[in-house]
Amino acid sequence: MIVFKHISRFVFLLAGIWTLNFCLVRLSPGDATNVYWGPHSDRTSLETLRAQRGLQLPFWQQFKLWTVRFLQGDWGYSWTRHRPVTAILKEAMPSTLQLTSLALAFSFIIGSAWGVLAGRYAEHASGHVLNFSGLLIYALPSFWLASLAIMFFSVKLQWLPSSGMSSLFIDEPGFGPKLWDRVRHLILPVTILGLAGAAAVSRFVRAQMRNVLRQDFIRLAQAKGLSQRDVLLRHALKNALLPVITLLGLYFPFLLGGALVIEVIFAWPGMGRIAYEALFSKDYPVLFAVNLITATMTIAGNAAADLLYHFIDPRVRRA
Amino acid sequence: MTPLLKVEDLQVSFFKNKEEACAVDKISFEIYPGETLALVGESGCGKTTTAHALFRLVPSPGRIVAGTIALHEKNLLALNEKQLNAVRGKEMGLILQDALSALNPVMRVGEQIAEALRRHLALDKKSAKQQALAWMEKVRLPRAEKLYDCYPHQLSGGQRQRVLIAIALACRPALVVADEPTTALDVSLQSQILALLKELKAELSLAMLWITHDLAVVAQIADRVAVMHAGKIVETAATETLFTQPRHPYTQNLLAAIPRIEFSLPSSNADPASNANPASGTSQKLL
Amino acid sequence: MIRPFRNMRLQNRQLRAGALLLVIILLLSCAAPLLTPYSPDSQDAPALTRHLPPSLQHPFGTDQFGRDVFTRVLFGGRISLLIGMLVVILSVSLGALYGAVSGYMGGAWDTALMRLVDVLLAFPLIFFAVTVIALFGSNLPALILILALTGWMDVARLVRAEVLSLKERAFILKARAVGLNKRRVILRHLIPNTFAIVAAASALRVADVILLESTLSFLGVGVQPPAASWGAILNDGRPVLATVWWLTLFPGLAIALTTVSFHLIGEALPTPGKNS
Repeated sequence: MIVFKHISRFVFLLAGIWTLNFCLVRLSPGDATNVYWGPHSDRTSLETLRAQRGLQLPFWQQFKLWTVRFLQGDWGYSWTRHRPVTAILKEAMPSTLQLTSLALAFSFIIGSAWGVLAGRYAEHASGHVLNFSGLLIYALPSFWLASLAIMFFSVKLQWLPSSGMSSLFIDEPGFGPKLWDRVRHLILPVTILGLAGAAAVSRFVRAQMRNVLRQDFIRLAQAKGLSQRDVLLRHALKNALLPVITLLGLYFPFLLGGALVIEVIFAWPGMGRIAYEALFSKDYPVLFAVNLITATMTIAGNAAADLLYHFIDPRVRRA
Repeated sequence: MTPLLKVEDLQVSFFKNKEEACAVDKISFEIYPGETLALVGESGCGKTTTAHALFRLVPSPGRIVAGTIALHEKNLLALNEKQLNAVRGKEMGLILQDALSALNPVMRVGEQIAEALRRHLALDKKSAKQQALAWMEKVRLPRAEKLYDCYPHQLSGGQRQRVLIAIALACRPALVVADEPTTALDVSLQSQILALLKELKAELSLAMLWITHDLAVVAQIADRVAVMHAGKIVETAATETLFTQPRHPYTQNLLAAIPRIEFSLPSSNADPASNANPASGTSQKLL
Repeated sequence: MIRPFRNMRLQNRQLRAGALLLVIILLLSCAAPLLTPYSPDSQDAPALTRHLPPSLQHPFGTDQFGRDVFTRVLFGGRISLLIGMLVVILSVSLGALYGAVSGYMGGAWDTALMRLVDVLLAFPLIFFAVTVIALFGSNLPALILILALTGWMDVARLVRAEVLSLKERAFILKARAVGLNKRRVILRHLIPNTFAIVAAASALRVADVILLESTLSFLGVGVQPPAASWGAILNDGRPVLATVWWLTLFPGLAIALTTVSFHLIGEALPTPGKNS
């Protein structure tokens, strides 16, 4: 039953995004040929296109046509790259997913550990340091951190590459060196992208942890004679970390948005960079498609996180 | 006979913004093996803080400032963490007031009993579970096998309270500290739990420190009573003596504050004068 | 209503630190023209003054046009802060109104309005802003409008929650026939409560907007040259990242300090339901 509720919500939101996107297309200067060709196309093609795509039809019919065409896989044609948008996205999406999924894992694992420690030692000096550093990193602009990281690790120390997904020339052949090369390219962008998220997660977890540690059941566990470690690991941890899953869903828009900037800085060939280039070349078809994809990923992530929480929390599960 | 628990000049204070607020002000009391001492007082007088202090679980910004707590003549305040954890749960058990918040919401109730057993009795998982089930039956939890795997929110209030009792008694401590264990229960449940505890107390020769503000409960379960007010113990006496001959004015006020249902039998020697003094001799009054 | 604010503010160290930092930043940006002899956007300096490292004459160095970076940072602060505050005023007003109306109307209207909010929240802000700017251009008023339109949703939700809880209370009051004017009760409780929540949310929003604006400027689609905005200066620093470090360090530091101060304030403000 719960699953049905979430799926219907997902579909509803998807429809909403869809409509909004279409309205955006229609609102843009020029007419909706924008979606299919760039503004630099020649006049005759545009006329043919108008006739072909039925752009003289009223709003609802256009919407229907648009929807049908999209579902059939016709997502427009990128003027600047001379390729269908679907092809471009097919290449860019895995790159972005690599980056964002690793950054997500980083954020949640590091962030949870950070928050647990900050909460556990909240009254001590070390706890204050952890807390304040979390606040600081949360407030810092990630593109600045990225630039500083490049300056330091790539330029000064020459430890890590500053851009791209892989090096042009790798000395040794085989899968291993290629993998290591990819890892080297991933370290900086994933860390910077994940760090901001980790700070956010840590602050949430810290608050949860402090809350949990004040509860009666912690006191009873201590009165049972359990060691500090047992109390923390067996009783406090699960209670403090369970709500973090709700953060997961809320986190997606920031993750994808942050990825845009990080991809631009590190010249990472993902959707963010594609969108950036499309922005300057006024490549509308690409822009709209990217918008749609990222919005869909967000609500899908949200729905998945909600469902996950439902199945994990024993209090909610049986309700 | 040497007392099981001897508290001397215990002082607990809370610190905020460099100010010290004294919650427990140099109290002393003793509990002998097998006896039940009730610690009575109104809310805020420091009784719960005393209970926490016995386990050295006073929450910050509070601290035990002075005094000694001797269990089996060992000063608990001088023990290190490891030694203290060997005492907690094994020689002293704790029962809390609100069973829903005293149990870990994401851990099954049977497991919460078993973990105490595993910790102190070095049992393996299987025997711990068996003993936990035995305890669940002992505290009169029906269908123990099924309830073992349940989460706290799936149990009723009375069932949860019984689980708390099982947890406290699992390792057979000599002393049980019960912090208002029946306050949150309705009257019928209250009497059930009281009866259960009286039975277990006799069976296991438990000494109990029973903390409450309810004098009715005190009358039923305590051997001796200590009255606490504003952090100090103002009077200690055997239960009957306290009710019939309260010495301290605070105790007298406390007893006077008990609502009474008065009725006079039509034909008996109803003496209005004797009705005036509440704690004197016999009278046709229902407490 | 203000008094409890005053008391708590004085006691709270975090709030004091944040407020102090903010005041310093505000003073610096207001006094910008007095603090520096240079002009922030002249582009006619001789070639020798380009990309000079920090020195006594140019504490933050110079950029590719020979402009003094310290000056640009100061003036950039004016623009960023101005945009931040304007946008937040707009979006908070819009959000509060939307949330209040939605909460007050309740029922199907409420559901519909909130669903719209859900849909809007599903778009990652930056992609959305980038798309809209690509479509409509990026002059200053448009920028402010776009930024405002991407941030009102949170405030709407918060205000709606307050309104709903108060409606419930008023309904109970009515049920008990206390005889109080329902509207007056709502107003007397609604305004102070939501004021506290909105104030805290606003402080955090300003930080977010400054961040978003500097990100957009960094990408080249925010504040346009020759105007100085912290993000734009960072953008100038990007192609020469390896050598001209002062173009990256100082404006970034300015952004960091500003957002940190707003965060300190926003987090430390007491709101109903938070134990400070």
